[in-house]
Amino acid sequence: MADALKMRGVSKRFPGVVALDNVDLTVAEGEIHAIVGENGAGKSTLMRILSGAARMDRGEILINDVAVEIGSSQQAINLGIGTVYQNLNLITDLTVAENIYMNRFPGRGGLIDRRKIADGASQALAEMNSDIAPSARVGDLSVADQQMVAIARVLAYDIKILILDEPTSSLSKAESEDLFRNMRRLKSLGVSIIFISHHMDEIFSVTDAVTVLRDGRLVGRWRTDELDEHALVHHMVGREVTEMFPKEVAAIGDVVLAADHISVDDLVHDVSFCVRKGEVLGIGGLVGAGRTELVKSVFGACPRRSGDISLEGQPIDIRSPKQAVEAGIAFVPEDRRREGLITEFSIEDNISLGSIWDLTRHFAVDFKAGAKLSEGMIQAMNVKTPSRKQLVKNLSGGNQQKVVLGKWFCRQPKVLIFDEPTRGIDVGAKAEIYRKISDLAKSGVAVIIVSSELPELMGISDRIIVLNKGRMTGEFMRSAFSADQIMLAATGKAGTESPLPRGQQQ
Amino acid sequence: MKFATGNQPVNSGVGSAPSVNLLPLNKLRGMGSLIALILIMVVFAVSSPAFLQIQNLMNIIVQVAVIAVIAAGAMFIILTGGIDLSVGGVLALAGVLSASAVRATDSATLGIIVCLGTAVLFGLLAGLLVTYGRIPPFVCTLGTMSIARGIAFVYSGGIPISGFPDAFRFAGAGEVAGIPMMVIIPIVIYVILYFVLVRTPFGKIVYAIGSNEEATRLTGIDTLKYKLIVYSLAGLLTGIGALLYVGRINSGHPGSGIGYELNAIAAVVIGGTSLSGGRGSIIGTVIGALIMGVISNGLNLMNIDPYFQSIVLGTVIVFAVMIDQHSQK
Repeated sequence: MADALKMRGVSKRFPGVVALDNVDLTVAEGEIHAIVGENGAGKSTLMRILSGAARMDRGEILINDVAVEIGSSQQAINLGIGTVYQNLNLITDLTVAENIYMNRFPGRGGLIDRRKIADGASQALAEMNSDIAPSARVGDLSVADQQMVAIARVLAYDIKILILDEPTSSLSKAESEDLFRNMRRLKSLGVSIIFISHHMDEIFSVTDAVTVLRDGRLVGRWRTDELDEHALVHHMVGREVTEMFPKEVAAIGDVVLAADHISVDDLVHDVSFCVRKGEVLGIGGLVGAGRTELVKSVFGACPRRSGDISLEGQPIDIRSPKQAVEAGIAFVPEDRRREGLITEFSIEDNISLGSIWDLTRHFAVDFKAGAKLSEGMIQAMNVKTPSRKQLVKNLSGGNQQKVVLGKWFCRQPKVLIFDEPTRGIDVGAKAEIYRKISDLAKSGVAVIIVSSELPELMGISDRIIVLNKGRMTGEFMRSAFSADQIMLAATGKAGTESPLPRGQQQ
Repeated sequence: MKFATGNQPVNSGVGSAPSVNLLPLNKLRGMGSLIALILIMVVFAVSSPAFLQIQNLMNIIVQVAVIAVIAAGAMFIILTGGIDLSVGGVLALAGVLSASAVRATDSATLGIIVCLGTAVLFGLLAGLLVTYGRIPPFVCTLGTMSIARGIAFVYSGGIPISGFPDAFRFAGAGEVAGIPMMVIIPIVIYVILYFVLVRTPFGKIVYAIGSNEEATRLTGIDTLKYKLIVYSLAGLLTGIGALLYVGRINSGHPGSGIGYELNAIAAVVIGGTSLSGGRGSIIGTVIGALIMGVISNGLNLMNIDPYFQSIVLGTVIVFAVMIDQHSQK
């Protein structure tokens, strides 16, 4: 196989940071090539250079052994390099067909030829085995379907190299499998695919070769079948991750939070659960099962249609996040950039904001106390930053998540709810966050964790409840954890076989 | 400036200028308007000897006092990501109602209460519509602007209400130790608001809401309540602006304050506050208002046509924002 793409000696500096230092990347024709590394390893920067969104300081790019210059995303597309970004960049108020033909509407006399784009779009989607209607509004589609549209849009150009940036991060298992089928089909057509993912199982099931980056440098390039999971993680982190899930058995005490018969819109139906002092309760299920809405309603961020909540035995009517926080409930949201942090604020300001009234003396914020608090949390959470004044937007995903944790830890909550605690976080930081969760439980906090990653859920939970389409379909104690049974419950197929000690079967 | 303004990103993202160029630009950030003010003042000082006289400088402050006070309120709203178009109409209504109250009762206290109360109520109304009514601030205040102006005309029959006791005119026309109240009041207000914005939790929350309202809410902060306070505070400042205005011209006129909303927004924007919220400084707004006053005053001294002034001012607004945008990269 010829090499479709060679990047040689690519370097890129940002003020104060070397993002890439002399990195090589070689991708063969018709190859699915994974780029892996911890967050901040330089994957995104390398891909941005390749897709024309950033310029490299030094280095060269060869396509089919011809040196090329990529100065803009349009040039990249003209060279056959298409990118599907993690956030998809679709215009949600336009239709599927309009999105696919954005920038190059076929037409006559300045009018769009609606039939032509509808036909073209349905053909493009049919090739991907998708039955999305070209006339559907993109905002009404599921995330998986939106992703299909984003891929179809890129493929409508003559693409030889397709970059997929964490395409599975919001897909369910089945949806991911669909995506992989399409990737293999494209591969058989001679398209090279660059695949960025944090998921080991995906890398091993779908890719042919792996390039590993660490701290902006190339670690190496391997055929995927030369590696195993352990070796790959070792290359990524440069050290042994001895214990991914440092689960320690904490003394489980009285019920701290009990939620009874919770219903939220059409998303959660009559779900009851409780969590005890020192316990880690996992909430499993597929994306869209209503898990986020369930925990958000307990936190007061999502209005509930019905249901009662009690905290330490006392009924409490939580209607807003403010009430929840004052009652000692904290929430670490799934999308930390949008919901968890103020990215334009410094670390110090983010941590202080969570305790702003505690830091106030005589109407004024006590900045010394805020500085002390944030320094303490930066240390306790092991946030890697030159200074507490660093803007949060300049931190890696893992360090951002540690700032969110710090914001809540210093309030010493009774209940801490995590929604996808390690989404988009690299392996090293993941282990640290699991350690913090375990420590929290040991110190007597009741912890609730929503996660789509089964190993994570089973690794850190004492008990798991599973939702399917807004209803509880299973409950498992740690001693009875079984990936198969949990998955069955998540897909709604477990029926009455799953043990339901709390009698929540409908 | 503790929050959101003083922190320099180490890595400002892809596509930034090479690090050599970035340093001086970073240092200049937020200073663009100050440099512009100084340059403009130098030009006028050279071309017109009267410009730098104390009396003239005081005049400039008196001329911008009303806009400066209103702009402070506009700035708080803009910092939360909102906008207020109603200030001109509310200023006219507060002026007319308070003028009428003073004429009827001869009570300056009642007049002041009516003036401030009307404006605060309109601010509160806009706040309620924006928060609990979920109406976009632009549309909402476009509506309240028209309503306030309409009531002012209906109530007064289109006729200005003039002639007040000195006590009611004190804010607009009074002096303390030879310094006009029109100079003292804006300075006191800005000193207080500087403290509020930079040192109090409220100030920090205002920036937080403008940067990311949802994250602020999920941190356990009642964001709607604070937006309500911000709109009411802006109403109060409009009311103070109305008090200065009515006192100065000794008349409550239903047609007064036309275009003030745009002048206030212009002062805020020239001062480097981002219209998308979350970024800006109170000192910038002072400078923005001063730039507008200085340009108008200097061109007057040079006997330049007022219509031409409007062209100059428009150009300054465009350039101020452009410089600010580029220094951000």
